[in-house]
Amino acid sequence: MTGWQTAWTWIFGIAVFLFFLVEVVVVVGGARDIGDMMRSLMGQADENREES
Amino acid sequence: MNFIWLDWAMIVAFLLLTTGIAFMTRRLISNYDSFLLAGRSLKLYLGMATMGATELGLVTLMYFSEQGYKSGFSAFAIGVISLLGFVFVGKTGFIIKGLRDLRMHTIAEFFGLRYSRSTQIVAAIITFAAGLMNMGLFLVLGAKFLLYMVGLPPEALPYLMVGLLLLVLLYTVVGGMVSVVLTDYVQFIILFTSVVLTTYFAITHVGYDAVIAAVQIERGAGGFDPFLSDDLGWLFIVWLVFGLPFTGMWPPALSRALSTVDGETSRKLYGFIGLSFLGRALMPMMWGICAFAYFAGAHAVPLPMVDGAPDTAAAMPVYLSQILPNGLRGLVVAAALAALMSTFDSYLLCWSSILVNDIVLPLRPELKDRQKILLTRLSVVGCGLFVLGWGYLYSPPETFFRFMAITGTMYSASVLLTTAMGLYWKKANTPGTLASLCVAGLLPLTTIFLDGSGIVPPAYEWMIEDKVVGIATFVASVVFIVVASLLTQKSHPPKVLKPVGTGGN
Repeated sequence: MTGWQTAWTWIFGIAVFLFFLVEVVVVVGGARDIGDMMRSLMGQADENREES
Repeated sequence: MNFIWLDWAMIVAFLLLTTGIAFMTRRLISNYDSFLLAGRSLKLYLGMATMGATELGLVTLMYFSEQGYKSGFSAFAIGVISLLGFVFVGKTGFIIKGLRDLRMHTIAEFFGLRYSRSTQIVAAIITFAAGLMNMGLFLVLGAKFLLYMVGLPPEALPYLMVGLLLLVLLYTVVGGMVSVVLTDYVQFIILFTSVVLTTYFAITHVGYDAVIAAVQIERGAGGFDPFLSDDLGWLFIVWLVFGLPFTGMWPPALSRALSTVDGETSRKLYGFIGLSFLGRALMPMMWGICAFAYFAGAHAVPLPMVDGAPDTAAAMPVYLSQILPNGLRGLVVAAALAALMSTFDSYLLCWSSILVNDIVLPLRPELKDRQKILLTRLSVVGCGLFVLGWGYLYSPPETFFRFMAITGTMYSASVLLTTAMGLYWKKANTPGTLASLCVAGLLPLTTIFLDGSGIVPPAYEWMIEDKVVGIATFVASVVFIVVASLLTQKSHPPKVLKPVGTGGN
């Protein structure tokens, strides 16, 4: 392999690893954030209903 | 037809799930902020999911794979530059932190605050025009992918486009940003998993060594060295580097940053999700390169033709339709639908919010929340219809990625560059910004509408080539804002921004 071929092979490997890592972190952390967002929006909806 | 019952079952299950979420979240929309910005309650990981799903659209998979097919491994340089851009924005908070701290809804709103109402409207019009043209190819590329993956006849293309548009309009109009965020989370999981699996099958079918050999034989050194590439070259790399500080700031992505709980979360969002952006570019490019190796071989099915030339955008879906196992093919199409919808809905919502917030509201400030939501929903439908027509009638002169890049430049060299100047250069004023907006908003139109039209004499065609116009646009924009601002400091003294504070809503 030439220098460019080796470099792109390594960069591609790192890209796949980082992509997968971000997926795992986001799936786990995102589930918790959804709960927080729903509570916040329901609170806002109740407040607006009381005001009107 | 390439599909069996299992493939169809996966798609139906996915559609029921996402549209169900859109209807269930309807009761949570109590005001305009909750419709458009999910009440500004996005935390880091959910922000990453929604930004990741939004920025990895079916159109992204299609244009990157086409670029990989045409440029070989040299196309990877695009992904590397994009990663560097995200690292820069994530480290410095360039533009995004300043906008979030000022509690802006959209980027054009900043122009009203820092410059003048007329500047806000001009910036909004340029953003809206560049965005709509850019989005104009989403439907046609998405429909092409589905057409070749499912194995439908080419005559079905316009019907597929209409069907996809109706599907996206349905839950964008109903749910607003809350449903967009929740469906983005589901779509993020399906999409990211499918991309990794597809990459595995795409490479193992032809073999990595065979891929490298095919690119070496057919493309030579230019298939690996971006500076020697016939398709890319020095000018293209310089053009991309000019746009590097504005990476990931296309308004739909920015709207995610502005929906976060504070400015610091906006900055972190870019730093973390940016890590996935290298894979976002390189994996679909690798599908395209594998498709190139496959079609260069002796046992390939014929590549579809358009106007007598091979349809390079069709190479990846045709290749995947031949190599993916049953069931996984259905999952990939469901993921592709997820990719299309998560991107398309956010973009529709974003351009509509710009139309309402930055063009209509400065002229009609008395509008109530209910009227604003109705107007936003109507403009979502209008934008969707425009995209349907534009995608059907317009063909870009170069690759689809390069069309995306020039419409991106139309926005970043005008609106983003002047935003940065407004945030970080005290002498930027209204005349300078207007001059910069106009020149950078108009120059890219030369390549969009004239390149390949045959109107310009062959000796001057280089002047309207996208790479030349892209670089010229950035340079002209900086020159115009600096010179015009300095010349008009006395007649138009710059406004001083008062910070709102950095924490909370």
